[in-house]
Amino acid sequence: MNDFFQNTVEIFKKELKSEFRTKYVLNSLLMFVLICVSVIRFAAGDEKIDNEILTGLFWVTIFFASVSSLARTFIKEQDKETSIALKLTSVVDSVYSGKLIFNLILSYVTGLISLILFVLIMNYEIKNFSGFMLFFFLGNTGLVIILTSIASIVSKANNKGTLYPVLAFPVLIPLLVSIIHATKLTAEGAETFSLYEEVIIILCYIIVVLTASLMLFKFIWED
Amino acid sequence: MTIKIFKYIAVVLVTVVIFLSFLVPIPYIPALGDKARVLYYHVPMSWISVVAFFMSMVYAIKYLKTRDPQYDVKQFSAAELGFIFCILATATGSLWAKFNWGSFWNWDPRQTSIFILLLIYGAYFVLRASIDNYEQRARLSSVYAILAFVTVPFFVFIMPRVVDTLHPDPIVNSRGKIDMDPKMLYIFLTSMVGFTFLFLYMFQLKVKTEILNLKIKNNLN
Amino acid sequence: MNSLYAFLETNDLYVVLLITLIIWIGIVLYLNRIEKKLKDLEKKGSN
Repeated sequence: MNDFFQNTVEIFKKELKSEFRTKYVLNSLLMFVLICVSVIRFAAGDEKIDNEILTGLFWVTIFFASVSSLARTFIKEQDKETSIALKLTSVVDSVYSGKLIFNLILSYVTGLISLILFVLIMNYEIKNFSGFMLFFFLGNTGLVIILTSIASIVSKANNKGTLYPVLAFPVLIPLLVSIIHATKLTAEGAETFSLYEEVIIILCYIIVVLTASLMLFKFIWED
Repeated sequence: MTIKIFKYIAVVLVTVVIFLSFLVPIPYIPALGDKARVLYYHVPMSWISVVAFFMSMVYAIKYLKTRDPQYDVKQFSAAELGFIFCILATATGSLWAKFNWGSFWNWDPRQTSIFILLLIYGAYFVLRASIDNYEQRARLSSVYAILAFVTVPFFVFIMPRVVDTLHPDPIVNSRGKIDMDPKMLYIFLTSMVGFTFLFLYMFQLKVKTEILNLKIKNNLN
Repeated sequence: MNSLYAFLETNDLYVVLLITLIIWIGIVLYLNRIEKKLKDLEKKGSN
């Protein structure tokens, strides 16, 4: 068990180091968000976009930004053939958890930046800010857990780029539907307490998906 | 041997159901009328597509445990049949919706959930098609089947909170009682059993074919 | 097409008939496909 945590931290550090060397993932995520926001702005023209629609657009941006680059952590190992070395030196599950933590931090950062862009450029109004942030973090966490384990599946397949969103979307629908619903209500000013059932459902989703991913990862990572 | 028994049971029961479903008069149900009779056909389709999904998950777990190729064959046979029945449920449901609600598709929670089931099946086959190595394909698609199955139940809790449904009560309604005319109930249950046997017959036929296919391929190599 | 639609709108029973037929055709087409494949395989196996 101790090995597991130690290894997790080590793999997380390794990911961070190799990311800071090239800044490939962070840069592409940020560019993607920027492009999304400006495309939405140009498409709307002079119209003011409804707050309700903006919530949906916000999550669409986050979903596609994550899908466009989070798979990188696993595909990189496959491309550079470093996965064998990783297999020899570390506990199986810690490969998943280390990369998961790295992806989580990455997606929090890009999510916050795209939130700032939405508020600044599109006048996105959030009335209950603390509740919104709660659902923002819960939603991103669930999203990244699924996307990381799907990324490890996709890294073994042939047409990686198109396969990733196709595989991830059906599994993510329950989360996306409830998170869009909840953030829409909090942006309109609903009390956080009145949405406690949503919090419970999303927490259950996160727990179930995380256990399933941790249990199944050793089968994906086998060869 | 069992294949034949299943076939005969299915043929007899489904024939009986087709006769009775059109001949036996049903009590008047507001806003549905005679269209309530689709229940005998539409509900078994969606039932089977869920059962097939469940079976494919069970065989996926068995495959990961034993690594026996026959479970992989069973896994994707169940998924393929489930996909066929899912398409049939969607087609019949939306035809019924056209005459009851006025449009083929209106994102009712039920329609959305069957749509998601279709998406999962579709993604599963795309995944299988894009991996060349046999062992790897079996392993990864098993993992995906389990992962997808785990998330589906959440939908049952989430969807009704977000949108209202127009769909007639499910068979066992929210009060936990079966609220149906006894005559209709008997025909309905016969139809469920009949179509389930039909599904099992098709499943065994499919598995037999695929195992034969596997053997011939292995002999050639 | 329009008259067919009007006919089905007033005759509920025929909607049910249509649905039954769709299911039947779907199942028969699928069974046909498996059977064809099985026959091909058996031929291949005996050679």
